[in-house]
Amino acid sequence: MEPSINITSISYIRVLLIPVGPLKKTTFFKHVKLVKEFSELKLGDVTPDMKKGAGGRHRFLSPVRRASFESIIALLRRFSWNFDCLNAFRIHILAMFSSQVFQEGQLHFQFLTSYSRDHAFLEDFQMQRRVFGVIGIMDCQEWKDGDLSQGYTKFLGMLEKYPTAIATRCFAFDPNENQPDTTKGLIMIPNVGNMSFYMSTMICDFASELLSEFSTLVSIRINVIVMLLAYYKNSPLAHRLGTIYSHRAELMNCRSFATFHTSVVDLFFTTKASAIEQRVYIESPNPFNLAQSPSIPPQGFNSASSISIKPPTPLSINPPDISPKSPTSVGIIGPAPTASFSSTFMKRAVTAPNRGATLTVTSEGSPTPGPGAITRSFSSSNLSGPLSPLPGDARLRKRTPGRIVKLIADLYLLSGRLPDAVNSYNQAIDITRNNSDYIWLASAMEGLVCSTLLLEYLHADIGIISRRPNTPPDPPGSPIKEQAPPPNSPKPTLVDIPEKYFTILSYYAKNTSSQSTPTPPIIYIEGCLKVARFLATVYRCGGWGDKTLGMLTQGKVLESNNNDMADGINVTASKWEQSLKSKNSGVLKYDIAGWVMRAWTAQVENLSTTDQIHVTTAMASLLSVVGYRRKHAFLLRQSVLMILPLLIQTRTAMGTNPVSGHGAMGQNSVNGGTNANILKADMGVLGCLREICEVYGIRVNMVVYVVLKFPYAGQGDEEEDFKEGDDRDFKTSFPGGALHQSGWPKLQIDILRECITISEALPDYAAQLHYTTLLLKKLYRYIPKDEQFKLASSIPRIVAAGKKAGQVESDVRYWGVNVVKAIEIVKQIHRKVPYAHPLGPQDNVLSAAQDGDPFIYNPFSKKAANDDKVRCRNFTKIFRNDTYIPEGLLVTNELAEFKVSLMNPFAFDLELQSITLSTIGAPFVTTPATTVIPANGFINVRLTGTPTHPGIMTIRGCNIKISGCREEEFLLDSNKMDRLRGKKTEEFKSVSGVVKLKKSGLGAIEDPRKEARHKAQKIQFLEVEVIPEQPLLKVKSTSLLHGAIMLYDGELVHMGIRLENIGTISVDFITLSFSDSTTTTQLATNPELPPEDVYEIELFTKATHVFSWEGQHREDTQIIGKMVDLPVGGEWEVIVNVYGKRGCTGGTIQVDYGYLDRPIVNSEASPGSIVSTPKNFYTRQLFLPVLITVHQNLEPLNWDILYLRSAENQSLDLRAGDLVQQGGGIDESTTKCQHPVETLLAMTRNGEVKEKNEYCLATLDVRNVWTVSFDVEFMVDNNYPEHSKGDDTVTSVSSVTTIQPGSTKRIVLPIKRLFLSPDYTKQPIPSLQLNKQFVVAKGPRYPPDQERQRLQMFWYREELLRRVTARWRCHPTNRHGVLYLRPSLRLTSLQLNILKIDDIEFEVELSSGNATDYHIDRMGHKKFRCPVNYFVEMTVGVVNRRGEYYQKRKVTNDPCCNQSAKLCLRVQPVQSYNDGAKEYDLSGKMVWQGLLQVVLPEIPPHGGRVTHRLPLCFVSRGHFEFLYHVEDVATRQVFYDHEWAIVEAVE
Amino acid sequence: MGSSFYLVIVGSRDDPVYEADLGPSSKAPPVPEGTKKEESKHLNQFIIHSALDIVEEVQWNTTATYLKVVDKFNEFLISAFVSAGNTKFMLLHDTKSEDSIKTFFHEVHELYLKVLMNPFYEVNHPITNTHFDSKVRLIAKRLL
Repeated sequence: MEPSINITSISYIRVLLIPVGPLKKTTFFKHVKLVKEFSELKLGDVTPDMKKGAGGRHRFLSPVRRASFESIIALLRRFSWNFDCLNAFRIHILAMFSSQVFQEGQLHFQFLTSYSRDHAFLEDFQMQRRVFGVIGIMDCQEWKDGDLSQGYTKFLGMLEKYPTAIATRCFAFDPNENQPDTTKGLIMIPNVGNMSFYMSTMICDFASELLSEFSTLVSIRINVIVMLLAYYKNSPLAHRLGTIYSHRAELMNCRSFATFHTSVVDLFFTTKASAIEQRVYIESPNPFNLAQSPSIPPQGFNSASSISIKPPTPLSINPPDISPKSPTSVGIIGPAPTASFSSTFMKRAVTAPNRGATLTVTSEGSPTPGPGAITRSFSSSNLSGPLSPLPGDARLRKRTPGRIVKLIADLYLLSGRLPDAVNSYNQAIDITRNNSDYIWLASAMEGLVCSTLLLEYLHADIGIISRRPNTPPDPPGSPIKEQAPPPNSPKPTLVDIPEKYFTILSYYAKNTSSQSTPTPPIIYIEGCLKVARFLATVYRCGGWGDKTLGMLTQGKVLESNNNDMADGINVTASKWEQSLKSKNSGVLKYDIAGWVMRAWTAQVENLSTTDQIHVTTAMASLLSVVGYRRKHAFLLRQSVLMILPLLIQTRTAMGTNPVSGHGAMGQNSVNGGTNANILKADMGVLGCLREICEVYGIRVNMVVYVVLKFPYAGQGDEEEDFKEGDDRDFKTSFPGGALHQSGWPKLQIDILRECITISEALPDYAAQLHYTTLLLKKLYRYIPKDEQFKLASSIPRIVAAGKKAGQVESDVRYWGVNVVKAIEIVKQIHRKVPYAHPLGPQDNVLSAAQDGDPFIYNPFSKKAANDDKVRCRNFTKIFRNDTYIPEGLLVTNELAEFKVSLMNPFAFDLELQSITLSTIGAPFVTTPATTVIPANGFINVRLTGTPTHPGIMTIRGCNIKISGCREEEFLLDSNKMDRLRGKKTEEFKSVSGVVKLKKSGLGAIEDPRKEARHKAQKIQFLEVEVIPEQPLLKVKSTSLLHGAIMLYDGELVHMGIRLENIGTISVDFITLSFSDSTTTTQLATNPELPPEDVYEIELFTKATHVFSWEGQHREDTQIIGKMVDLPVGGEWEVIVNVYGKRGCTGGTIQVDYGYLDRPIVNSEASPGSIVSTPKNFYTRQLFLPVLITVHQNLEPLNWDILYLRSAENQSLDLRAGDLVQQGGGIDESTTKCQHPVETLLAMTRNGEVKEKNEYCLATLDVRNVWTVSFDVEFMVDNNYPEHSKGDDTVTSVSSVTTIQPGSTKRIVLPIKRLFLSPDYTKQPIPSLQLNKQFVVAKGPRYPPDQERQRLQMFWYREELLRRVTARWRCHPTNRHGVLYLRPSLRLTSLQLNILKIDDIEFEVELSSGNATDYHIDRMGHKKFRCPVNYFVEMTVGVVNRRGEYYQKRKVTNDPCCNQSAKLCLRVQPVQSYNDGAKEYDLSGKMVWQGLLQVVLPEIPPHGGRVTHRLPLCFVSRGHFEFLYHVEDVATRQVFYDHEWAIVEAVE
Repeated sequence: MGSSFYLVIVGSRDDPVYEADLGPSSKAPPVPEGTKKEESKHLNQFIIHSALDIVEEVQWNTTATYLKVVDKFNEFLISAFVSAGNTKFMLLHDTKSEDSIKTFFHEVHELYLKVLMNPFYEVNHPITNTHFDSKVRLIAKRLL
């Protein structure tokens, strides 16, 4: 069967085009193409029977009536055995197929280049199967020297193989001018002028001959039948017949007839002579039967063996080389070669008498001509037909006329005389139906369908068609229910044809079931496919119409569409239109698929292999047209599987005997074309495989990992395809991508295995390699280990074989998945890491914090003004703000390391013979490495290289040479890498947003490919900046021993660090920064701590630095940049101070250095414009760790603050307070105003007693916890501005004490009492932490007066600590340091009261008033002695000193400075006994006048004074004390005087 | 009865999400003559795969999720059910029993939905849940 079976294909006249060698393949096909242009020929164009006209043998050119045919029928019906009569009608018959009758009709040629005899047994059943014409094609260029006639002879010789050919031509193309056109029968076609016109003439001529020969054929046929009938009736008649026909043969000069004749004659004799034991069913006049179907061939058809040698693909030229065998095997002794067509026909004919049947005339009594009469006459006899089958021969006899009519109708159809064909078919249908000859009936119906369709195409007059309804009504129970539809309305045709075919198929099936001769499945299948193709064509064309009809009749457009589908399945816009059109066609896809699958169910497996292949291919192509790609693939796979054994067979045959292989290819195959044929055929199969793979979700990009040597031209496109595919593949194959696969793994494995087997059988090593690798690459997850191993080990074998065959070049490309999973830059060692410092304007973060913004980052704050003019070259400033370690920075001329992660997902080891980085951009010298990735393993490899120039370097991936493969670049998308790490980039999100389309099935499978392509453009590689060369320093030496230092608490030492430049360029900038263990591991401050404590902790951690540079202890000396000039190889020393901070265990000195003022290279590149300055400058760091041990040597304890009261017993005090060592060894320079403490004490005590004592005493114990003695020097700075009254005032004291190891000494310090303004003490406790986010304090909250107290305490303490400093010195070691007093000092409120000077001051005076007779002794400050029984007057003066501070500073506008006080004074006298007891009840001991509690008038500020007089009289002796205090009326604040007045009453 | 059933849940990329041979006899249904044994190893799968074409067409012509018998291959029938998420439930069977298959599909779908609700399950990934498997088999035993 033909793969392109069509509903109208029964109207095609098969013409075989054969090359008459020698001929180039391309030339042949060029000519074939030319000839094929004339496959459609209008009957009107056909040359009127020239031969007859010229020869003048027949003068029956008058238009033939249609009646002629009917008359023949009538004749036959009459069976009148009158040979004269028969002769008379022969004239009519000869003109039956004249082209002049139905001018609109068309001839359809089906030009074949190959012809298989497989279905020869059907040729008498379906005329169109026969090869009616043979056209030889010669190329004159090949016969330049030779005689063309030889070629023609050769052609004639070839013709013998095609006995059915009734018309032959031999065209010789491209003749030279000098080549003589002498050979008779050979037609020279010059390659000049309008060739197509010339050709069309030739073809028309050919057609004309063909038509005339049809007539002959019919006549022969009729004659033969008559003859046979006659033979049956009366044997001797045959002899007469024989003579008649031999004579005729001479006359007609008809080759085919001659052949036929001889065979007939021979047959007659042979049958008589010998008994042919052929198993031909007598009751089956059909030219075939199932038992003799090709799978179990009769001797004549050695189909299985002969077919298998042939390349089975339809493209191959496949000359039938088997025909000669058949007659011999049948055993006909006659002039060879005998036509096989006739042999079967004859067999039947001949074997009929063997069964000893005698034919009788079927219907004797009704010789009425005309179709109606026939019907009637037959219908009567038909009634009993199916019910009581006649004996075989009788039935055959009965049926034969119908069959003849059908065959004639076939010929009418072929010759384009459609009206006649319709009529004949109708008649045939009638007859066969009456005879229950279902198979012929069905066949006739097919013909009818075809001819009506063609008529519709030609828009032939309805009159002819409208006759059809006049055909006799169906017998009851016919499946055709609807005969009514108007024939020319389009839709019904669409409905009608499938319905008709449904009936046809049911008839075929009926035949199979009811008759002993089943219908050959091929016919049934062809029927199914015809409908399917018909529907598919309508579907593709989008409905019924002229175009559709045209396509149907030509059957070509569909083919081309088909090819489109096979080529690429890209859904283009046109395809969408197509699908839309298809949707409106009114044909449902699954209807088409249903018809197609009906063919499958009809026992395809009973067909011959070739037919099976053809059927499945045809089915597959149809399904592909409707877009059922899975089914298409399924069937395609089936057909490929069928081809497979044939392939293997062929290959083995070729392998053992190449000559025979060539023989199988065909003897007439064009020279040198054999190999190309094979390859082309292979490509066909491979193409199929590719398509199958696509559908099953295996993305076959045709990534061929070997370079193919294409032995034939025209593969350029494909090669490009490979490249593209290759690139894409490597770009997109990424760890994440392969995880989710589409498709059905089990099926995919199956398919790929089959692909491998097939390509092995071909053998196409490239494809085999490809599929092997694909299987490994895509589906390794589902393949067991041993098979993976087998596959992997087969690859080198395939390559070797391929190399041998020349298909594969030596270097195989790597095939597997991308092994490179990640590339990272290995961080350099610390001292080599370059740190970037932006040179541009600074960020707004810090500035915001400095402005006092409560928010660390304020997005609304204005960005720092970008002032270009002031380009900050102050590196120090920049340096502090933002330093960062840029990622992926390489330094020119320094070795860089990369960590490459490699993965091997396979179950076998991958050996990497070399792996290097693949980079573009800045030049980079890489060092190759080798490694082995273990099976299912993951390894990291370090690759090194050196960038040679600054710039941007892009790392594309790795160049890897895997053993056995070519070196390949494995790309790596850094985007995906980020994604793997969980960084969702914006880009990724947007991309994924695009991708989210609802697609399923094959659409989804194909979609990722586009997506991948889309992504491939966006591939992002790892980019690395290569910065210019950087200097390198090292610490050559330090003054420390083993980098460790021991310090006493508070000690300050210097250490020296010597740096050396070991790099290649000089250093011009160095800066130091420090960190120590106390700052790096900060104490977590408890937020609930009171702020004083927090301040204390902060002061310790933040404000006390272990390290400082250049001897300075200020805050900003912590980090300092310095421009230096340190040439290559030079050295430089830095001195760093180290302070012994308690709790510090170590620290790090960090040296940042760089080369900043490098010349800008590209300055002349853009002379006019501003030189673009680099964005960043880079420094490197050097770290010097220092181990620090801090020992506590001195411990201050037990602070106290005491009143310093004027006392009588001075000498005792002095002795007791042996505090001072005269002439202590404190530095002379620092103690300019040094006074011994006791002098001070003495001075203060012995000062004017009247004056209030300004001093208090601070005492503390200092314990020496170390093992050597320390000298401690305390310095008290009593100097503060508001108290500097005179030059002689002692403002500063210092004392030196030596404390022996283990001992404790009490230190007494006279401290001037302090006065801090209330506003000052109201300040909140400061925080040392910059950038501290404002939070609501969580600490304990106090009532306002307590809060005030606390603040006061804080500020007084701060002041005290400011004034009192202490240093220590160790004489033996000459070490010195500071004694840290802070932690030990805690003020209590009592101490505070002593320390501070109150606002309100009391002055007490005792006077005798106006009396002069007694004297009141003033013994000291507020100490009096008075006689008893005298009236004395006590004056209590209260001074309001508020605002004095401000007054002194001349600040008057402050509201605080005008605070007058309204006070209530209370005085309580008590008698104090020596034992300390106090007597409050003073009645009888003293008397006073007035109240002890009075409200004083308002006291103005700035030292305003109010005095209260209290007249007293002591009546008893004793020691009286007057206690007093005032209470502020408004604030209820009570002010006490710490020195109360003492009065000693004496006699 | 000797009928066998073969259920496949096909994801939207033609990939099998779940496969189960539910027939009373575990062996593959008889293969048509002429095809070799190893070729037909995955015949069921191949048949179902080829039937997807029709499902894709039929699903747009109906509002029902149960598509009934969509395809025939030799003596096998293929019933299909399409979920809202375009996941196809394909059942290969050789006896006609529309109602029970419909119920079967609906119950399997219910189960499938439960699997979908698992936050650790991603759509179109194979279902490896043994619970699901046993439940499906139970339903099959009950209904088919």
